[in-house]
Amino acid sequence: MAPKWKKQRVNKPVKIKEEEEEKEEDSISDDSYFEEIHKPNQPKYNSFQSQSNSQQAQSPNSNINSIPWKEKYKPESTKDICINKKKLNEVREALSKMIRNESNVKLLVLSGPSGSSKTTTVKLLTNELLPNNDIFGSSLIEYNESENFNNFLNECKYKQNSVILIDELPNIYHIETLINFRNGLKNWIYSDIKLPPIILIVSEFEYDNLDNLNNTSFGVENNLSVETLLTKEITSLSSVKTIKFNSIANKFLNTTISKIIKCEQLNRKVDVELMNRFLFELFQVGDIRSIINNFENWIKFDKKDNIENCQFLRENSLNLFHAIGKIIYSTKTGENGLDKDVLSIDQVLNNYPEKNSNLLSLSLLENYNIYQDGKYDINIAADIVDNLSINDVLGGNGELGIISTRINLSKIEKIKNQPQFMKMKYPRHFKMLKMYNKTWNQIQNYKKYLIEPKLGFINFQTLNLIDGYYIPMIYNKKKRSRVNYNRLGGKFSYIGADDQLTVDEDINIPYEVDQFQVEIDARIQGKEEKNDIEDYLSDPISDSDEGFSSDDELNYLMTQGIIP
Amino acid sequence: MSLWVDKYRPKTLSQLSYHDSITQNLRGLSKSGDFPHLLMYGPSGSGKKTRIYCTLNEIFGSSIEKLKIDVKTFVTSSNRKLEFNVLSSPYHLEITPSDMGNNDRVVIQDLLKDVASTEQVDFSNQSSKRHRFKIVIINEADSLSRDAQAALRRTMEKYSSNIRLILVCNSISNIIAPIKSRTLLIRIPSPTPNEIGKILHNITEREQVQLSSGDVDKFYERLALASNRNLRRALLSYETLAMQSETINISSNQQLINLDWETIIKSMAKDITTSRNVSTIAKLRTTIYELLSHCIPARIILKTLLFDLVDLHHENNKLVEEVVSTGSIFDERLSLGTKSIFHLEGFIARSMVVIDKYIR
Repeated sequence: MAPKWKKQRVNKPVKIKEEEEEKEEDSISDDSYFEEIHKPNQPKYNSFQSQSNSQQAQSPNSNINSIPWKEKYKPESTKDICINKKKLNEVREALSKMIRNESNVKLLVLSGPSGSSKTTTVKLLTNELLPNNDIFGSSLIEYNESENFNNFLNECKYKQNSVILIDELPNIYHIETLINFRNGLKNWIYSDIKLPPIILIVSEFEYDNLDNLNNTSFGVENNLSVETLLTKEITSLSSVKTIKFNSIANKFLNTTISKIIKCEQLNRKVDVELMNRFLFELFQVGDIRSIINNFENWIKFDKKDNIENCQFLRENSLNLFHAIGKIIYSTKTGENGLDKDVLSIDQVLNNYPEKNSNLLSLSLLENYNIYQDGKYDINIAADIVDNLSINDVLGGNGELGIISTRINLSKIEKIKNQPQFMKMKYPRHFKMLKMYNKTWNQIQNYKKYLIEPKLGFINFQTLNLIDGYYIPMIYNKKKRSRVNYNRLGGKFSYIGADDQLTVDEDINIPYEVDQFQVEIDARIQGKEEKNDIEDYLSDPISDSDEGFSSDDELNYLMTQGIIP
Repeated sequence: MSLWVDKYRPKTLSQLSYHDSITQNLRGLSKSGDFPHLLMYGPSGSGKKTRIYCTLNEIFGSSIEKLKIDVKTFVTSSNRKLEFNVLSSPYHLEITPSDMGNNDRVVIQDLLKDVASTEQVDFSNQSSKRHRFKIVIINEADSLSRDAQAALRRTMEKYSSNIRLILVCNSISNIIAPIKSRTLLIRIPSPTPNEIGKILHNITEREQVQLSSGDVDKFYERLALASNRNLRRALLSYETLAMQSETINISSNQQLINLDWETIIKSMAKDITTSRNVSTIAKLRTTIYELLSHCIPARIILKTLLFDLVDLHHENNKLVEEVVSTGSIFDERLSLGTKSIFHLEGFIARSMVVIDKYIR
């Protein structure tokens, strides 16, 4: 639902092209004539069309439909690519330097949303820069997902005069495969011999599958980006160059689409005004592949009398911060007489990916208090949280939480000219889970390794809640040596919210010597050393406990240089 | 270097110092040499496990104390390896189902079948039919999934000739009725402050703890009450006190050592009462995350916070009534919902509103 003036502006460039079109018409219909002979007619399409649009079925050109447009109008050379020319030149320069070995860049990373012409750019540029004089296929070597990545790289080492393209990634959701992938690239980057240029294409996406509680942070699983895939260690190297692609701007989309319109003689078949309005809506997506597909679909199958009921196959989804912003602050202006609160709720409900609704609810909880820096009645806050809590019980798509937050916040009397100090924050839930797992593991290890079996099992929560606090205090006093026992499971630590996405690389926690951890490590090591497990298990462990504690003291003295 | 809790733990039924009637019953059970499946329940730190081991000691002799830990692995249907610990002696096994997560049904069934299929052979006295079974102790039985409990009930009947189960839990509200009907229920209540006092007094003499002059019994009682009549906790905090200084000051104004997380929650309750505004809610959210990240169960946080609030406002009956009813609403939501942060914060915000209503 765009304002009217915008629609009109878009109309113009397409209209200009109308006249040129007719001149070239003949040659095109010739082409299509040949196609008609070679490609068998697909009756399914024809019958469908005759129902939907009798006019088109009668037209002689209808058989072109057997090839999808995205194949048919694939760019043939670099100048046809639907992309900003500056971006193209940037990639061209980088790649040609790499081919001529003029730069130290060994890995070129192209990242961006899907359908921003990344792959096409690479393929056509390679053809242009390394014209193919070999009869055995192209100078571009593509990685195939089913291959072992490192084997593939090894084979590629000797293929000079070619460009290696990694468009498909190996199974990066398997942690070992991911590490192998990273190491393979690292070895490539660090190697001294001259290697062919390698291009990695990353279609970035966000927040997939955050519902899963086991995801303790933002990593490859839920946020595929260059950083999560390769880690900062690699991306910050000078021999790695990253070029970011953006969604394609309307200007470039228009050029490409009007070419299609021209070739398909669409101006004759369809109401131009309607088509332009449709295209305007479609261009919002910014994904060329999806736009062509949808456009083709619309032209071929849809009833072309009404835009409102046509369905876009790819939704232009809201990202998390947009959605929170809309709910917390509401959209600026109402439209079509709609209340702006209703509108913002509507937009979020329709456009925010439903499977991430848990994340949205958590974010609302984290952020409702930033409205007017929290200077409002607690009754309103209580209502919001109450509804978020019910919302959690209900499950579903978080509708209740979204509606309640917006409506309740709209009841607040606005303070004029009040500057806002608080920023939107990411929910801390995942950070909390990470700490939770750490604590849990330490207590489990304590339970497993340090409690003498003759005392039986002790309940986990007893250990955490009671023993965890008292026992270190007792031990610290009892053992005269200066070892330090920390609270079991670590000290209570502050968990703050971040306003920026932190990429999950192990956060450095200040190193503290914890005697429990030392003893656990010693036990684990001791266990590995003992080959005869049976013998070890029948030994009363209490004996070895004495030995360990005296060992610690000895170790301590030795490390302090008191005993040589 | 063992802790007092472990050092003074009774090993035989005759060493048990309180709940004499229960001890009598257990002695009767052990005399018969055979007993039904048991379900021991009661608050933590009341001596459930101690009583079980004393009974086993009475039946099988001291060889029950030759314990070892085995790490068993189990491969789930999705090919994931699962490790869990089994504590065992020649006569019994002990397992904790919470180690097994969602697969508890399969794991327990597998394990029990394994144990049950090998009949216990006692060469020492072949003539009698005694001890032809193995004991399986299941800790934290209330954390067993419904699924696992249903499976357990069948196993109990099928292998009842070879296996005796002892289920241990804090409350039987989560145990399904068929299991309750197939077991002998034994409730172990918390010891009274007086009984705890006697045990503490015994330790004072044996360990020669120096106490300052004053009403010793009053001090013991205070310690017992501060520990919620949890004997384990009372002993640990007493030992901590004893370690802090040569002589323990037992006068009533002397601070006892409170648990760190309880102190945190207490200050939360104070914040809720004193500064009732939106930014306090946001500040307390950080505190809740802090507690949650330390594996402190959300229900315990809610319960402790509620009782602290009630303590702070005990003179205002209307207010207390309303806070408690709010607490119960959010307690229910905690068990229905998935993410506890919503409900804890909901409770905080609502109780602020309630307090705001009565205190102006």
